[in-house]
Amino acid sequence: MTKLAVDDIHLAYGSMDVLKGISLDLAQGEVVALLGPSGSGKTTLLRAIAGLEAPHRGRISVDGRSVYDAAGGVDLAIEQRNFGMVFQSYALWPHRTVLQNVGYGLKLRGKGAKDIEAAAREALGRLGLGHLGERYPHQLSGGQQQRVAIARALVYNPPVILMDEPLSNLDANLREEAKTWLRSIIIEMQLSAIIVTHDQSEALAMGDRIVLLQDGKVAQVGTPVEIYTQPANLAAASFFGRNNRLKGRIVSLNGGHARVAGAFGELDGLAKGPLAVGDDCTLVLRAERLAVAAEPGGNAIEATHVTSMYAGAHWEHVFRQGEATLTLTSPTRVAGGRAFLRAEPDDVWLFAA
Amino acid sequence: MADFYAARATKNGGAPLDGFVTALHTWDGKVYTVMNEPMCWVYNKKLLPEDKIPRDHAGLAKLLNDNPDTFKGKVSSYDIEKTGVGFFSVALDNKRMENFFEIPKAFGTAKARFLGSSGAMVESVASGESVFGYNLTCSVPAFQAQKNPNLGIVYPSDFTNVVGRVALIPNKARNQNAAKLFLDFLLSKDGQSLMAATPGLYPAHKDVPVKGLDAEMIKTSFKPVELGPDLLFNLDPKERLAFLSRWKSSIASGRR
Amino acid sequence: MLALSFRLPVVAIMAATVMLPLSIIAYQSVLSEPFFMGGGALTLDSFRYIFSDPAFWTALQNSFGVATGMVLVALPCGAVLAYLLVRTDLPARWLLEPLVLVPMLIPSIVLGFGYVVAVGPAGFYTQIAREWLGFAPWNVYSRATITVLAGLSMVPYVYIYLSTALRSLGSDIEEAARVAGAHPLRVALDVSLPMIFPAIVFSTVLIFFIGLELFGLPLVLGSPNGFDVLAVYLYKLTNLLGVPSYHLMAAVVMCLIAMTIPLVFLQRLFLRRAERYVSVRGKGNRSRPVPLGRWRWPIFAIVAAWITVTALVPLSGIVIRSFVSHWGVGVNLIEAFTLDTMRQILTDTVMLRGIVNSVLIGVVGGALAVACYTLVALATHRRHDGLSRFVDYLVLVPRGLPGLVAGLAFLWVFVFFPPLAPLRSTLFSVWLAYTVVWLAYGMRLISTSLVQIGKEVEEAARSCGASQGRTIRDVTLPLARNGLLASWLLIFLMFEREYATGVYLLTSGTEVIGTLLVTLAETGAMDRASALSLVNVVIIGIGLGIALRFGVKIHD
Repeated sequence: MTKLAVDDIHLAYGSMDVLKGISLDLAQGEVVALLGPSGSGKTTLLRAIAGLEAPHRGRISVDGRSVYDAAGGVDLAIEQRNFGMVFQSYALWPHRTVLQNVGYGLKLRGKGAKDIEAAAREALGRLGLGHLGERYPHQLSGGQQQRVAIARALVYNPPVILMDEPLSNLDANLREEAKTWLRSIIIEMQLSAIIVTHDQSEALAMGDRIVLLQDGKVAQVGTPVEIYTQPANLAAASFFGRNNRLKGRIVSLNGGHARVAGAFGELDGLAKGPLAVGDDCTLVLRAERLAVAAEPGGNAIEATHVTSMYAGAHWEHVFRQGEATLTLTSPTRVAGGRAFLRAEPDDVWLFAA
Repeated sequence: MADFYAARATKNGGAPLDGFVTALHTWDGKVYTVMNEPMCWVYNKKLLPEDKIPRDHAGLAKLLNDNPDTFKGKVSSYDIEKTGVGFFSVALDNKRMENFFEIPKAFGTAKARFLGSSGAMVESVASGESVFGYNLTCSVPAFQAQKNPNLGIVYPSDFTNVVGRVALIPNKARNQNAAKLFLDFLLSKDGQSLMAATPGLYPAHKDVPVKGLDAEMIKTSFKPVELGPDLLFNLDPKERLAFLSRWKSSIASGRR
Repeated sequence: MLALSFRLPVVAIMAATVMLPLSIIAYQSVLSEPFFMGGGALTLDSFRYIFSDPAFWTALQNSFGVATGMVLVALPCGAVLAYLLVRTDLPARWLLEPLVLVPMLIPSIVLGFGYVVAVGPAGFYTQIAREWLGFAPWNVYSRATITVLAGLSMVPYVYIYLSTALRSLGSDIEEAARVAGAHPLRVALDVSLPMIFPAIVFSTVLIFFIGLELFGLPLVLGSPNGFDVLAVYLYKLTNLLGVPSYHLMAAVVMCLIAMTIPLVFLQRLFLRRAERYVSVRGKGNRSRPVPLGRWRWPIFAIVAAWITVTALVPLSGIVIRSFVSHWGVGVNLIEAFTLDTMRQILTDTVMLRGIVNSVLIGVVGGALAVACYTLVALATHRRHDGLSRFVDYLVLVPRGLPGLVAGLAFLWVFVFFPPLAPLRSTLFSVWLAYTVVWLAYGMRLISTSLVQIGKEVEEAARSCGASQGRTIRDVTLPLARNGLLASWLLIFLMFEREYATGVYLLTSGTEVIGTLLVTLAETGAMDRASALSLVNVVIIGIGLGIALRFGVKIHD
């Protein structure tokens, strides 16, 4: 059942188009990660859903009811849309206690003081902050503030929760922990959530589906596995993982595969999108899909080893081929000097240049 | 006081002044009255009917009390706390008439306004904010009356105080000779005649005729003030405060 | 961050400049006669006199009443205006905002004239009202009117403080409240208002002070009807006993200071604690202005009406009065049109001198004052030791001195020290008084600019090898340039609007427009006073225009 439907939303700042026709939907109990580089419009989209920004075309509806409909003249005020929102800065009210912060939404909805306190304490307890009710925000750590912000957004059981970069303000080690913990809370409480992030690992870890935005448009929608292993376009491919990019020209086509020639020699690859012989194209190879071999043969590029960097769980090896730099990851060291980097043709993705 | 400050003024060239000078008020050969300043009353010609124009001190209080519609909220006078000359003029009035304090009482009843200067009073009367102003230094309204036909001037017929503007030369003045020359000019026939011819200035010398002022009036009702140490009574703090407090309580009693 | 060899002398000079006048006042208040008379014994008689004078208590009561009334008028008006112009979609905000600030350009004494001439019992608009309505529904001389007018003239200050605070408030905490379900008015009351509480406290105390020491407006509007405030009571003491009764005046000043200085310190203590409220600067997202819906135009009309009453009415009064030879009941204004008054103002020696002096003091004096404030600010820059705290408290002292009193105090300083006497009749004496009176205000301006420069930038210079002094010269001051220029402009404005401070320092040669206005007011030369006021307002406007043209920003 669709909880939230966003339909062809257009938004502009003055003469500058920021959202150029975005559509997505969110099912009950689903987490959608809105992912994209800065400037892609993801935060703007989230804010537009909440009513904090004003689109000029399109429709947004919750449980089938419009909260915004340009054609139908509907534009509910922010406070009438009943979303829960977690801001990137947490936006806790510094002059109120944690308990008052969390209970505010219920107070606005006319609940009695006793009920408010009970509900707020329960929400805090569930997030492990039961003992902090009487403190003020400036007395809490970053991680604690984040949880208060989440409790505040949950306490009045909104149909959808919107989160704007919930992890970006946390320290690196906290972030890992929070990723897990956030996902489990969402599942446990069966929340429907949209999470905005610029970090691909967060999106991959927390989203049931990922909506990748590029330049105000949707580049690809899919599950994490789909988007990572089967990118539909260059944008999607380049955004994830550690990639090597090369330039080449199509020499011949063979069903879904093609042969490409370039400064690196010749390679067989998987054609993504319509390509013809003679077309310029971009090759994308994931770093973890390359293997080092001492002898030529198979689908390989000859390159010279430059340096290797230890990353704990694996090694990153840097090779040079002509002007290009190639990186590959491997659990072991490699020998220096000349080597041949092999890849399966299905792992060499060819996109139109 | 004078010993510290005033040098002896001596004659320096020009026509002999003796006969002329002795007709003026002087004090100890050091302080000279060079100009006169009658204290007059003003009224608004457009707003005040002929029969309601106050003409003398004796009848003023009664006139104000009998005609509240004409005068209520439309009388102005000096704030004698703020201005020395205001204080001086009412102190003189007090000396020269009986039952002076009926007048401030009448002001209280009429909810009079107390302003800081003759100029302010002229502004108030000329614009119609007030219809009557009490005890102004006459130079100001005389000058204004030229431009403003609405401004009328009254010289009270029972007595018109004439305060002198005095000049003296401080002992430590840097340009004593220039000062003496100027003083000579002020006291000379030419100087005094020039004053007579300028509206708003009144010569000190009795014998110099002034345009617009009835010579008879000058002789009978104009009462010049004598220069002398007696004038310092004004500055005695106890006397002053006593007078001020009586003035204020009269006004207050009228207000009630 | 500067060495003691710099800080100590600067602080010492500043302390002397501030404490000297105060000490003389204190000394004079317990002498039985003016200190320069030679004799005189120590006595508390002066205090006994004023405490037994009913006029003193009435004036005191009146001052409190006016001050309280001003707060009650200015704070809500300023707050509402700030909210409307910063947060909502009120039409023509770009036009309204500068107009709201117009009363700031008009000195209070000029406002007084303006109102008398425009809506006094025989004022232009009063007469028009009488013709159309049969009566005029206002009385400009009532104490309520005086209080309201004074309060309205304070609104620009409140507006500036509150709008700046609102602007610097991260929009996210207000947005969070709205998403949680609060409609805009609720957000304003529950979130915005508490968050700008420090600015509100600051404004309240500021207005209260100004109310206690208000001089110009009550002088012109209140005094004629017996409504005296403390500053006018003080002024009257000049002539009350025939000769200036300095000992009595000093006693009154001591009473005034005893009230204001503790207030200043209290305010500072309060602000310190309240500053913990400041929220983490959220991301400054473009926030949707709160829509006013169908209230848009009615509210616009109200705001426009407000601006008309507080700015256009008195200004138009002044303009008209400057160009007519006489006015009042039954006078045809067109017939009375004349350029003579203006000509007089612009050709009379004394007037011209006053105008020139005013410009000098504003432009050159203002720059010098900014330089002095900068020196003091540098002495406390990035140092939080005892010396800095001492300066912080010292700077507050002149804030408790009304302008009128400060001028008097400096007059006494010059008289007290014979070597300084020749300076008394030069513009320097006026400049000194002005600079000290505005010390706290100027310091705050400059410190704010300096503090905004990140510490790292200076540290980078130091690590490259620059000495402390070099760093200030090459890094801090250039980076603070815009702030310093803005301060210069604001100080210029304040100096141009000054009128009370120079009153006791007035002598041939030290006339400035403000003091000439007081004199003209007292002698009732309303036509010349209006014309001079017009010149004053024009000068201020030109100065403001020039500065804005060169990109000086009053607030960012």
